Amino acid sequence: MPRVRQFLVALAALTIATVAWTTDLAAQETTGTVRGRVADEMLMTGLGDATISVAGQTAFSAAQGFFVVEDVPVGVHTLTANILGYREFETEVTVTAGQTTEVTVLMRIAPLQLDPLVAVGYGELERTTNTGVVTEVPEEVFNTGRVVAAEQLIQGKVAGVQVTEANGGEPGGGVSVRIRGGTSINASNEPLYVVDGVPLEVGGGLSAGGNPLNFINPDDITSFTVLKDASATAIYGSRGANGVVLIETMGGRARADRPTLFTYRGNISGSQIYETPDILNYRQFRDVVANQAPEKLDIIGNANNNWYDRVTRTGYGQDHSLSVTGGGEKMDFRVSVGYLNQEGTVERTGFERASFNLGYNQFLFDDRLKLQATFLGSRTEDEFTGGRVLGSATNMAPSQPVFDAGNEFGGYFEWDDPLGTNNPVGELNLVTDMGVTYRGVGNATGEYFIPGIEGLSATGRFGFISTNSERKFFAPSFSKFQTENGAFGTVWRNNPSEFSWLGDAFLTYARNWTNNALNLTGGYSYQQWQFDNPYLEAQQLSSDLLGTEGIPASDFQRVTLNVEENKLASWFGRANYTFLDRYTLTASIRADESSRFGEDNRWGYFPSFAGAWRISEESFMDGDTFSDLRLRASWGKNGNQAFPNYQQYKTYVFGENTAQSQFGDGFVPTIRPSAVDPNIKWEETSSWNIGLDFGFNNNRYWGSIEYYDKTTEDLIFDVIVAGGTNLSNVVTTNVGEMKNKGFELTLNAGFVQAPPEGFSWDANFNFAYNDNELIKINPFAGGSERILAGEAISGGVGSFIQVLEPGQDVNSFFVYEHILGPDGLPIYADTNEDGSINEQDLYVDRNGDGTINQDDRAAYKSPAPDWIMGHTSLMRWGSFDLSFTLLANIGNYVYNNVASSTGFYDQLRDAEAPNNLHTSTLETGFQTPQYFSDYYVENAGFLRMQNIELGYTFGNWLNGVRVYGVVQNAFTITGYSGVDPTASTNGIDNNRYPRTRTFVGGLSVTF
Amino acid sequence: MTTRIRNLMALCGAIAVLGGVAACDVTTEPKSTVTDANIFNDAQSYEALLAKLYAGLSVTGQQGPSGNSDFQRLDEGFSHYGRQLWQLQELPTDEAVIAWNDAGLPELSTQGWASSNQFVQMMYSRIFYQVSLANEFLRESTPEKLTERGQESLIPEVQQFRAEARFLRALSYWHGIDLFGDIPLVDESFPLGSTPPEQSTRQEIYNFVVNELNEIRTDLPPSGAGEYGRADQGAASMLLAKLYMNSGVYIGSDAYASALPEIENVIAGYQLEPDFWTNFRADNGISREIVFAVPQDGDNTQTWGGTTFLVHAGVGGDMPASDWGIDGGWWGLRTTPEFVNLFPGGAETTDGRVEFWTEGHSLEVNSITDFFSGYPVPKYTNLNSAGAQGSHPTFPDTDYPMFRLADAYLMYAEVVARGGGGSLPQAVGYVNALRERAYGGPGQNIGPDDLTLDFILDERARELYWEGHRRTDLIRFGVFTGGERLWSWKGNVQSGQSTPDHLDLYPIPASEILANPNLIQNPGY
Repeated sequence: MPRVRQFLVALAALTIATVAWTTDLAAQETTGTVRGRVADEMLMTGLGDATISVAGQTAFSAAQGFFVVEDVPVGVHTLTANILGYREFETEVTVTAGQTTEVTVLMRIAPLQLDPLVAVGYGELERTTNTGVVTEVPEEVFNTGRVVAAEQLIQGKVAGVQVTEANGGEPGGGVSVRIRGGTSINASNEPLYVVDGVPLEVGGGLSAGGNPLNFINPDDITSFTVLKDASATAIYGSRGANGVVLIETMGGRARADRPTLFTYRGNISGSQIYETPDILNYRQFRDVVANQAPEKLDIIGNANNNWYDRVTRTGYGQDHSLSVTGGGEKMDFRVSVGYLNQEGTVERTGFERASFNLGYNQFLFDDRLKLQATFLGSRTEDEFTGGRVLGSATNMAPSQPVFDAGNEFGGYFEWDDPLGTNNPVGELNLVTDMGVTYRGVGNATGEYFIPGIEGLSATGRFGFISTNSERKFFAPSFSKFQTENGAFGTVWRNNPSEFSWLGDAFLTYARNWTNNALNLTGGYSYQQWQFDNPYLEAQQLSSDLLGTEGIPASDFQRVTLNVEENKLASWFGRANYTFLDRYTLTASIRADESSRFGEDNRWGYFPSFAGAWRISEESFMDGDTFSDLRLRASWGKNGNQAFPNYQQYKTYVFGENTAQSQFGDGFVPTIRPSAVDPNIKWEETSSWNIGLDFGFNNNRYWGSIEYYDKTTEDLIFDVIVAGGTNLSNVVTTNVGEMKNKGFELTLNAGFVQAPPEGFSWDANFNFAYNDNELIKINPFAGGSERILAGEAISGGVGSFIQVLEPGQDVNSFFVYEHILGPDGLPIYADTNEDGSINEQDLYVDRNGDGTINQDDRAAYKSPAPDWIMGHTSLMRWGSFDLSFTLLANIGNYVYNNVASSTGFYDQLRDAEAPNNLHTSTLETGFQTPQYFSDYYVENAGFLRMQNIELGYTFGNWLNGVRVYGVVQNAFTITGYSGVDPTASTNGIDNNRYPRTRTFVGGLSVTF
Repeated sequence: MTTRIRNLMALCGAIAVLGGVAACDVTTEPKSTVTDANIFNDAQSYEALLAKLYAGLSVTGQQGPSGNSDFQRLDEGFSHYGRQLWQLQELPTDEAVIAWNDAGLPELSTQGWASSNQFVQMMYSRIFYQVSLANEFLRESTPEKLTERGQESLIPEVQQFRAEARFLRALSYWHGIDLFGDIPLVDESFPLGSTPPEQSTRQEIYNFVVNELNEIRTDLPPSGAGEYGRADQGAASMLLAKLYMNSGVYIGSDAYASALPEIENVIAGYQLEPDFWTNFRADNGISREIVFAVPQDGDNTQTWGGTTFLVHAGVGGDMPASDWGIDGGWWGLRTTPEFVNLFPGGAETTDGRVEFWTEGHSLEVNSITDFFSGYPVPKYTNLNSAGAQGSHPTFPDTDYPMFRLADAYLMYAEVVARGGGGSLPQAVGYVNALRERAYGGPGQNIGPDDLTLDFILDERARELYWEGHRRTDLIRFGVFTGGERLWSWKGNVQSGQSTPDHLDLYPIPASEILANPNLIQNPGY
């Protein structure tokens, strides 16, 4: 819903009210005065801080937009007005001697305009002297509609940034972000998030919900800044290898003379599933049972049930926020409260958030001391999909009824056979699984401009993150899966909490001389975290009446407590020097001392060097073709320390009562030593970047091209230990190497720049290509290294479908090549005529040893896209605005695990409870599962209309009223046969939460 | 970085941080686990670590039945020591087939495994996990270390612990050379985290194990006198007997004569139970016949492997699970028609050691993956001798009888038949003791002329099926591979076909070859 706000400060409707009057004061003078008001053309709200220039005279507008330019020479002049975030305004004014000319300046928002300042780590730099690859996404460009997770605001907006929902359309579900491809296998691939200067634990930190960043109300965010190359990220050292995302909240930016305004924004939404797995309907199911497993005909029912319909619904949502801003000459503030409630499209799932955001800025001591405080706090509640509801909805025979009144499973139909699929409706209604997270992130920052030395300031910051969460689960004793797994009623509760505090102290020296400019930053940072995780569980409950809220007498209890701590102490520095406004050199370094590093590797050093040449300022340029042309190059190192604590210690883990050894008649609890590499350290990524910034036509068209090459060494991996040399089958250590290289192209265009009230069209296009390759994963190079990787698939036990193999993409699929028949379908016949159909008949003997076994599997395609493309269009016409976002991936593949785990006729026979089949079975005729066939690895490239929005603004009511409607996920074009081509970053589509199409209607009012 | 600079940084850091909080030392020790620096200050830790060594055979991690696995990246339930040992010993033989399609599992039934087979990898990892744990125990429990820690009074008790640790290491090394042939010999002198060890020969490890067992013998309780679940001299003798019986396979020269005194030592310490099934019920802890058991308990020793697997996987289809004291079958294990036909009368046999479930099943294994194809022959049950269910319907109380007196009887007979000494009447008497128990009388007893090697191989199947001995036996008799003896699906055809003899050894796992470049793969892989 940030879109609402964007239009309150934006959009256009122009009226000119020129009142000219003459005075008696006569006219010997040679100069006149121009005065007037600067306002947003659509909302008519006054705009402060605009620069007004006319005939060499300059003035600034005050809080309500009023300005006066004096001593303007007589004549006809061009008046220009400029303000950040708006297009330049031009008009002709006629100045008469001794007279005052009134002008109304109505400005139209310029969503894709270049910001002259860019946020970087520990400060900001002028765009023309910044050498790193830094992309800012201001609120005007954010994705619109019903947005639960902050990351979704920038999906499709930044070249090389892939934002993927981990679990389809689950409200509040996890979101993963990859900046220029992943750099790690075992450690995190998520970027470092820095909220108002406070770095969160990599990936976002702790939550009992689906996504740690859900604690932020997207309405409170004013901008994202994505740091991509080493010149930008090296100052974050051992946490910067996967890129850094700086999030600035609304309250975090001081705005002089902020008017007192209340803003309400609200919307309601409805979400519908638009794709479900291709499984047989009742008629088809009965037919295949009759043909393939007639002996089962008398045990199946005739209920004609669509299980997906039984567990899903239209999910309604509402989202409201109210903010107030205000301030005076020396201070300003913003306070907001928000409430969001989103039902899931799967019954009994949903997300709820109540949030609070405070920002306060104050100038003291002749403006020498700038104080800033921000706080974000929220309570989020996630209701999760109980058990394996979606998998059961796919598998459960459509012939069976939902209810079987009076039976032992609470009246829900269940098969007698414990191997039978459980009733998804029963599981949904009986199981409770929810999480509540309270989280607060705050910081207080003081910046003091030291008297006597121009340009020198000292900054101190104290920040904290406090999270308390609670996940609770209950399944009654009579639910089918509880009787099957021997638990007979389970209640558990888990209360992870996190507290982190941060201290930063740094000096900044920024000074411009005629031909030189220098920006120096250096300081110290310390951050520490403590995690507490108590857990309690009881099984075999004597009563089901207490639900999640109590523990009755029980035959089995488990109580665990895990407390961990980690610390990071760092020095950092950056020097940025520009000569003749053209030649810039930057160097930065970070030294990190982390509690996660082994004793001999306690300190990590992360340098970077970069240079830029602003060609457009050179005298040999004509100055007309390019409004900006700048060549950049950078090199630097980053680390990744997002791996578990205490890896360097050999610890002894106490065994539980359920895993004891029997000695005589008694039982003895055990202790287990851990496998350890005492010298474990960060993963190290070295990267090159070469980039070109360009702008034409006074930056009406601008963009950049980047080429990068990243090599990650000392990859952390669970390496198989040579037998007998360590205390597990694997040890976590630094081995391996991978590469990512690629290029990015970003284009921004103000295609149509209309006069006031006319049509305007701004657009962003971004393209990114990334090539990932694993170089090494084994400490002893040589031989065909193939290590099974990824997550186990559904179907069989311990079945891995992905591989790590040098020369291939990380997590390439690892499959047999299925021989195709003349019809293009995978064959299923006894081709070797040995009397049975098995893998010998179906797959290609890749290694030519005459037999087909697991050695004939090979790496084939990977889940990572080659190309990621995004497009945003923003259009305005009078009081109307229209915008849309397109997203496309090319070259990403998905393993269709829904098809592979249900696509064979043995599904009907393997138990006294036939399962439903995937419709592909009708084509392939598979009797037995072919989990490792390349048939199930599908091209999942897609083009998706992420959102399309139409709005109308009533500029004359209050301070602006806007109504709008949005359709999210309007359509997807893909060749993928499963439910969702963006299954998740791991590329395994296994009964994910269905993606939804969402319709949103909203209103925003400022008064 | 020099210390001086580091100190300077620390100093600066202390000054720089807001509020003057000194925050330069980032060292944090684990809080909820104990490090090796102080775990052994607790005298209980020695027994607890020894218990972990035994638990390495019975469970898969620190939480039962699963959830805190000893291993990473392998399915925890599958990674159970006994479960994999059982699968590798039984599935490629005539005694068992399994219906599941888990990656690499059907290949075990057809002798079609590759070096990347996950089950082969799990077994290898389990063997060396036991070796590493035992070595760690031996390093941490030396009299010198105990003295250093002021625990001199523990030395006598720990002396027996150390002998048991060495027994368990020897047991795993036996499994290692039996399954894999030449493997590294790593003892407690080998530091953790060191460079990969060299490959030793089967002979070197054989010698090491024999030597170890002879050395520890006197530190173990006498045969039959050990605490249940722990090794005594009987267990050590049984293991020695196993090595000697198979020494022709392991080192190329027979040692049947050496086996004889060890077998006699076992026989002296244990008694045949009157009821064959006493050894396989939920209360089989009462059996005086079991020489070395891997105990399980429905409440205290839970796992998805071991007898949990053996009881559940052997039940499915129309078989009422409650007849085996469990809450449901897993539709997995059956046997081949060739095994059924080892019994006179086939499935209708009056031999009381076997109960085929034939209803709804075909005798022939027309499809490995179809549970109704082939007769289930469940041997283990979670019902006790009174017919009551064990303490938990999912996790049986049934212990896995790794070594049993009946095996010693049959080994005695085999030694006599092979001319390794002993008395023929005694041998016939031992065999007939088993057969009288099987048939409930002497009607099917054999005479001295019947005691041929072929008879012994078949009798071993009839008595010891599904106890994890079959592959070793077939190899000792030279018929595991090749075309002399065929059974369903041997060589991946239903009628069975000859297989190459390199399959007598499993491949060293491909992952291990990567981890240890010193290793040379077994021939044929």
